[in-house]
Amino acid sequence: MTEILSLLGSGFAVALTPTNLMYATIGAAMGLIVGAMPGIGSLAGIALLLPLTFKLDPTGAIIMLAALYYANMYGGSFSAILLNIPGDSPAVMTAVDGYKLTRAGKAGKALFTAIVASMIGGTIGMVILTVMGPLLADVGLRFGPAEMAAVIVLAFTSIGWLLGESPAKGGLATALGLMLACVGVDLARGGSRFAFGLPDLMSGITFVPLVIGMFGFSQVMILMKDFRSQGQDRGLADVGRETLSIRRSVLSRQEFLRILPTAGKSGLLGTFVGVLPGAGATMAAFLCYVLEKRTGRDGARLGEGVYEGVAAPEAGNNAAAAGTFAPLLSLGIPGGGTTAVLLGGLMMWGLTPGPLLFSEQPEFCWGLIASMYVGNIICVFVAIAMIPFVTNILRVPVRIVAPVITAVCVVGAYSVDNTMFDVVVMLAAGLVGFFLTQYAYPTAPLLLAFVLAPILERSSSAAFEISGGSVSIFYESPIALGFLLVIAAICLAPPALKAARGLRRTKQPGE
Amino acid sequence: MSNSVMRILAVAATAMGLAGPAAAFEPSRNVDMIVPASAGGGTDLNARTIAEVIKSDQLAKSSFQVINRPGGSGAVAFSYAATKAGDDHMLMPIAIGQIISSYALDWEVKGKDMTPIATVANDEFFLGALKGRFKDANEAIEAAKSGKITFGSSQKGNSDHLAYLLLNKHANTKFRYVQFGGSGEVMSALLGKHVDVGLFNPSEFVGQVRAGTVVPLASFSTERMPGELWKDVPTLAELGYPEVVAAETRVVLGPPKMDEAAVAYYENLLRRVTETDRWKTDYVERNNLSPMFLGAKETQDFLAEVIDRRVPVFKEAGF
Repeated sequence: MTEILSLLGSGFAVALTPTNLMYATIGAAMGLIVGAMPGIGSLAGIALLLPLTFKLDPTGAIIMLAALYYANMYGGSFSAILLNIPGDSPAVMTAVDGYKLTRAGKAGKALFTAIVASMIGGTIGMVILTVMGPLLADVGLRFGPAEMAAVIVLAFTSIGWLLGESPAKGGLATALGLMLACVGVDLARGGSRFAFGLPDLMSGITFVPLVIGMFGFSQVMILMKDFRSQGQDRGLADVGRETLSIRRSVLSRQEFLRILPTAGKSGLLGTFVGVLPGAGATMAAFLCYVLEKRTGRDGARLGEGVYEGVAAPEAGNNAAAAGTFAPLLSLGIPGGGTTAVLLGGLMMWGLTPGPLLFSEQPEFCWGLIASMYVGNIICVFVAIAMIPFVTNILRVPVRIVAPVITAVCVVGAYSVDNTMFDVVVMLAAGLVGFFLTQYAYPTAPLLLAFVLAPILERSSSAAFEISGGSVSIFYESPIALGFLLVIAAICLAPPALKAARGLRRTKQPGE
Repeated sequence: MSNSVMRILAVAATAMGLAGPAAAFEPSRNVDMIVPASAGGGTDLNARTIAEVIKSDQLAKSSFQVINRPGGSGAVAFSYAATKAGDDHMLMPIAIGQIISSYALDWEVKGKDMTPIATVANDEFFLGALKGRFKDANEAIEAAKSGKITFGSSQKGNSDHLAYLLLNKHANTKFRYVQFGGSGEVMSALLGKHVDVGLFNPSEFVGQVRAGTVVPLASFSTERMPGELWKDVPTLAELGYPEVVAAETRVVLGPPKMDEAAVAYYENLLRRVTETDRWKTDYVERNNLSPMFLGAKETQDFLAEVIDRRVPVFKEAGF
């Protein structure tokens, strides 16, 4: 432990040099901007910035890129909360409660919650990374395809808790998400399925345009409908005459104490999900939201616009961003697309990611880890300073803001892959999202199913390929068996309890 | 107009016509480099490095801009190129795996429809296993005849899959193909002992090889790769399987029906790119690639060999 502290100390000496501090600040500012812009995620941001960093020294370069990566998780929540357009896919769950808070005139506090929760989640992730990074990476390795399949089935089981008031409607939305996820690559054969001969559909429907449409564009239509029926032109939210100052956005002591346990729990779970192979920040945010919904003190109210609903996914995705660095640094294995690009960067700077990185380049590794502590604090200050500016958008009358959001939706959908096809997907998703919302079908289960289904398909098919088609692989692995037993318990416990209670009740009168 | 003037004009016209092909082609506007993959991957890096070297070493007057057109693992970019037939201001840097996919997965537009321009680098394939799992490649191949040895890889209908099929066919093995979402997941599965062997590019497992956790058993190349880590690793050809040759070769294509003069221009330009120090050290060396250059004609022959001789193994395997 003392050794870790002294190494971390030397890391801080690296991270706090003026040059590296500057790189962290530049990275953080760019990450916030890139994250807030729908369609451009951390992957594209880092890929575009990477060639510019080849001339920098590796430590400075990765400090900047890592800052861009985790700052992205902060930025993604801005447009999710204010406009209901998740800037990046990990912010999808943030939009659910965040936007409801905005409409209720609590935008400033929602943003503040997101920032504070992000900081707590990120810091938890980094402390875990510092203290037990290599150990954590080893735990991740134990999760092979069979174990991952069991984890995803558990996640699917938990969709039930997100269904809202009508389980039938929620189930239908989930099924729709599954169907959409089936379009594209047929994993068993490598070819395409349900693509109807369209090359654009051959690799499936892209997630970001779907999200932008379902949330953002459908929101425009709802705004226009309300605007017509009310006939008066107001801003997005009733913010009143007073300016939205930082002071008015700060959470009260009581509110802060409410989100603290949420952020802590989500930070732990998020870090763990970030370490798993092929999972990532989006899944972490989903699972943390579900966890809070299930175990939170006020879980039942999640989805109606409560601060915990913002804190859980935001803490979760930041923790996951830190978690993905564990396998990257200690084994040279990227956990997702963004870290794969960072890995490419390490090689371009002449470093060899792998088990020897920590012992051969301690200055680089500990400098990076230390810079993540520093960078997170920088992110908090930059992000809080932005609150009064960004919340001004809420004053803009709907007749102006609606066309602007529409333009942002179109540009965001287009810029993912530079194709008009994604714009069509976004518009169609918007239309579907509008009717779903009008008839009270929840959209979150749809998106959750869409994200989880391909991972489930991939890991279960790989598990069967390993076992040669035998199901024994699922019960011979203690981890997979453990998860499957938990799933069975979750499914059977409520009806069993109900039955037991029923029995007792029928007995009582006879006594 | 007198007869003699007409004659002179005719002669002049003929002379100009003859001089036409010799008059070197020069791009008259920006050249689009269409990358059939998202930003951040190997093909994207290849394209951006080419564009960067052309700019920094001032090898051309016009600017080369990289445009990503992902989708359908490359089918979207191929369909797009087909609509640009005869366009002399478009290049498509590509991995040979996508050309293989166009046949294995039967896309509408296929590799041979494009104009080959040059081959610029080679990314070798290695068979890797955990240290101590197998003594050498021969032991792994013998063990795989039982049908119980699993082979981790990251895509179907691609060059990875081709390497696997060729190995199974010619070495008479029954490796079990296990598909993952990317080479990082293959490495996780190998380290976690969920699969027995994996297929890797040098850059994908050089860290593990240096640390001694993963051992390269054999390469799928025609010659041994130089360098301390790789020079003792036999090729499968040496081990008695000369037909088992595969790699992720980096090729640059033009759209269908590109003008010959334009092909000659880009061929020469790319040759000069691969001769720069920047390309050699910052790109080839750092990414553990093997230097390779083939002109337009040789690239065409090379692609024809892969497509006609190796790709049919997909059909044979019932894929």
